[in-house]
Amino acid sequence: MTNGHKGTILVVDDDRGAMEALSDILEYEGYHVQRAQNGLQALEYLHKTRPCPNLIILDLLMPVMDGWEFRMRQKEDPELASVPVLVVTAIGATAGIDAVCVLHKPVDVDALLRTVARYCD
Amino acid sequence: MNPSAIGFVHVSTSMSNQKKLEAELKAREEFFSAVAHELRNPLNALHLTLVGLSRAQSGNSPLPPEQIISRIDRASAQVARIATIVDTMLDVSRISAGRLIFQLEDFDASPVLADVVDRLKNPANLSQISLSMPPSLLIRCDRARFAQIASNLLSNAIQYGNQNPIEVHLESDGSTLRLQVVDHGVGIADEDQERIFERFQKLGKDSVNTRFGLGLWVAREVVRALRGEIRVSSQLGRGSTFLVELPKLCSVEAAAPSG
Repeated sequence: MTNGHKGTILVVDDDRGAMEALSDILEYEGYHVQRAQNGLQALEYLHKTRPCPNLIILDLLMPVMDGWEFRMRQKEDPELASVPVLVVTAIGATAGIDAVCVLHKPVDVDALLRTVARYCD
Repeated sequence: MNPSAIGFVHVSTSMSNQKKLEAELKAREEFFSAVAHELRNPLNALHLTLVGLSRAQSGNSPLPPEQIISRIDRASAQVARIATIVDTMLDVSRISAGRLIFQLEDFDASPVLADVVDRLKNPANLSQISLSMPPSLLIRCDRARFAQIASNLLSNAIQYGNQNPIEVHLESDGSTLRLQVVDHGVGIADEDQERIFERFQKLGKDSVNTRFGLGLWVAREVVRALRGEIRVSSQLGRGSTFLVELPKLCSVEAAAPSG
């Protein structure tokens, strides 16, 4: 925990409306939220920030760098590989993405918050 | 005439029709799957906005009125997104059936374009959008369809512009109106520059990573039905320029979809 809040979450989603709404919910619950609009922005943030966030909430279909490529690059980096990832996606076939949890849009907020609490509280 | 030959031709034609039917059914299935996927995103944003509002108001720290209003406005914006997707589905259906109907009228294109830019240049979009246009540009066209073309191109630029500045230019040259939308975002690979205008384009490394874009297909079909043209020039990693040319005095005829 840092700065008196429960933990830090990196939300990666190109949908600004969903990003804002999810961030509002998480911040209301006491979490510190960082935002990225695609996998490349997320990697840039992770490379320059220490300590790493407690959890990454990751969309899959994004321009510039999608969730699959981000996850592949994250796992290749020993300093980032251990950060757990929760996938939130609109598509049915998640093609074996490696994640602690996969939630389909529209998201079950209670299920999301239970997973967040497991890694951030 | 050899009876066996007649039989062979008949079977071959049936198989060809069968394959065509299977392809059409597959295309229809992909279309509905793509639409369902597109609807899930604004539905998710709307759902999260309303759940967040409910949780805050029933918790120990209810939101002040201005924040409640802000979240309600954001929910309304998602409803507008859903309505746009539904309208696009209807357009696809009309275009596919050759039933695109226009309401031609004389109007000033400049304020119509300014409204589109203002609407899309909301605080949620971090891209800076600059607009250059004459004070007045009178044309005869379908006002709603002109706004739709501009909106589709600008939405595309915002989505793929990587938050870099976007320029919108409107001008006329004799009998032709020119609308140009320039972004400095991800750009489009050479091999994809025609495919982005196709109805069921899949851009991505494999069939799982798909992003279906109907906006550009609809824009092109509408532009062509108005006897105009739409082109793109782009460089991967540097951005894209979309150029629409329309006659200032539009006349239309029902056009069969081009693909």
